[in-house]
Amino acid sequence: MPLILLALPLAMALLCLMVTDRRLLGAISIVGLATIVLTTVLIARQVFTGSNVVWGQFIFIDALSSLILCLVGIIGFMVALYSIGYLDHDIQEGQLSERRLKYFYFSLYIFVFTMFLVLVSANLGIMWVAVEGTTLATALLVGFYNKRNSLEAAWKYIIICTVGIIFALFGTILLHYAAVSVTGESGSLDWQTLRRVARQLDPKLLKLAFIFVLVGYGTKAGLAPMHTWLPDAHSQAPSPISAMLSGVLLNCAFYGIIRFHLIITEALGPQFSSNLILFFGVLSIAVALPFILVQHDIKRLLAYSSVEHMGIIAAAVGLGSKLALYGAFLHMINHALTKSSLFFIVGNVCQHYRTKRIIRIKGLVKTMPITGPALVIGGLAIAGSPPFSIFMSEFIIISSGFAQGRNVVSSLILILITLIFTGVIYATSNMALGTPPSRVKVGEQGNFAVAFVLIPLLPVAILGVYIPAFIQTILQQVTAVFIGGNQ
Amino acid sequence: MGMQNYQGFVNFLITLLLVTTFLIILARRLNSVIMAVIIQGLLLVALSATLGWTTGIHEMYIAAVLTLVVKVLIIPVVLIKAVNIVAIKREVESFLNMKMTLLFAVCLVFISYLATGQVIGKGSGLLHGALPVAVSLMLIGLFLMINLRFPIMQIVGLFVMENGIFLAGIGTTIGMPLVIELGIFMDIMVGVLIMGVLVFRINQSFDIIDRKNLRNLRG
Repeated sequence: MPLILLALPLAMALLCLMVTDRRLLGAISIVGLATIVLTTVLIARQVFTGSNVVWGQFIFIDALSSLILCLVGIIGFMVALYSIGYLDHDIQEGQLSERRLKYFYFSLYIFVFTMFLVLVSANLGIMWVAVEGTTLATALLVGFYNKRNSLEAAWKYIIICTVGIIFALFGTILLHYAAVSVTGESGSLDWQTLRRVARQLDPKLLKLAFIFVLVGYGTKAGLAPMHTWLPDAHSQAPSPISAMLSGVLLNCAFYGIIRFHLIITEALGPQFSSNLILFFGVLSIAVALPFILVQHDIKRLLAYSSVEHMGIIAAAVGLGSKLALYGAFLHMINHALTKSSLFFIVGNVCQHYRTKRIIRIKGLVKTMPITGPALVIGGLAIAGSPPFSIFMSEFIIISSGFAQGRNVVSSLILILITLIFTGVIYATSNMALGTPPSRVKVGEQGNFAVAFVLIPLLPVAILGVYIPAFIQTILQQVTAVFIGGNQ
Repeated sequence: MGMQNYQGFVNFLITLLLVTTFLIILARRLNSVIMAVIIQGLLLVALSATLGWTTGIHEMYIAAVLTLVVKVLIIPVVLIKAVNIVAIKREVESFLNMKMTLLFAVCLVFISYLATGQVIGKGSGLLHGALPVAVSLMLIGLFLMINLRFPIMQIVGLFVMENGIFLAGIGTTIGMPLVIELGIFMDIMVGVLIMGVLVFRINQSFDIIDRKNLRNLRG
């Protein structure tokens, strides 16, 4: 089963290279990602109903990895559906040539493959190779429009992330160095083995390794102050790709940090790595704030909001109590769904208004009868207003912080997200209300594009008032990974 | 066969690695930079082959061959192509002047020796000299990327950083397991190719390729 999971996206990528017709490409990509979702769900079902999936020496899937696997599958499937309408429109407008479409799908599938590889590998070295692979797979997607700004964004993205990831490799080598005398060549990068023998490793080296890894994978996860590539890449990439970057790639990179965090916690106790993660988490929320308040570009606003939400997830993992972890992973699900649907919505809006500048987008509710209200709902949801799910997870995280007695940090997070709330609501209401500019026609971007702004918002609304039993079990099992219950 | 007999030669190679890094810093023309890049790659090949011979670990030979292919052939070829297509001016421009650049680089080497001595302690690891030089290469590579204007030179900076990592890997633990080593080489190769493509495309849409032009996205 895990082999199918890895082979499918690779096979699909190669298949896409051979096809040029855009209808056929669209159909192939939908079928492909539907099959992939099915596989991830089957794997997740096996993991959550009993046993971890193990295959050979290099593949190990537990509750934590299968949660993110499912997110990659689901968001990937929605992206495949949404891309069809979005890319059709770009081709009609002459932004893209049909000839290049196959490279879009090729890179998309390679991207999915590398993320799966990050999540299923039992070996920290292979995980590193895969994380660097995600950068390479997406660099050309970020620059897909071949315009000056998108090429600048792609260049910044590949350079900053590669440098960051080189630090992570140094951290991995240091860990390898610390472990090799204890475990021998074969197990020295296997994170399960490492977790078991963590107490025998040299604590000085472990600390150093963790700092390098945190900086390295933190760059990729969009933690401040290493986040500078993120707003550029997210704003310049085609909207479906922005949804993918924001919704799942950041989580995959953060997953890398968590794996190291678990080893370090085992060796040095919870203080050292938790506090570092907490610090970078809160810093990210704080850094995102001013940029959200004065933002002029709607896609950059969403990108900074991703920095904020990754910060919240990191802060919750840093707080580390059972409740906080529950909140962290609920927040991960919520953020992935809400942010990807917002990128779909904004993708429609930007194509319709032909601009990304917030001041030039007015009267959305009048011009786009479905996307307009959807933007209002999505804006409220991402800002964290009740009754949407992000309010729920933020509430859980902050109250768990207070329950732990960490009042200063929790109040700080509370104040920061309240201020960000005002910024996001101000921007969305500015776009939704007002008189639309006369050049903009009334109408939607086509039925296909409209359907996918609404579908992901549905679970966001439901999860805010009611968390189904199966999601409860999933989240409990994921938090159990942290206390070693799922080994 | 004891390590001791070869320790001198290995240390000599490691010192030469540092010297080539300074050659890259000092070079005024892109052609000489690429020359230094090739020499540095060859030194790494020699180093891993020597270690393979003295330790009897066959994986080191594979690492040597991979280094030869990726770092002595493919990367320099991509760089030369990029320079030929793109470069109008073939002089290297930096933000700091040469004296400051050198001073900075020397300081970085000094810091690396101090820092690694602090953390690791003397006498641990396979090669005493490897780790401080490895960290120096990483820091100088990063510094090159910040200091030099030309995007191609940023690829060179990355190359130097990666060589530092490679040295750290073989110097401390005789390299990572083979599967991972293969993956790392593939990543570097694909990465440099994609950077080459991007440099080419940036050149098509900007008239002069300079990082001054890559500064539109802010805030």
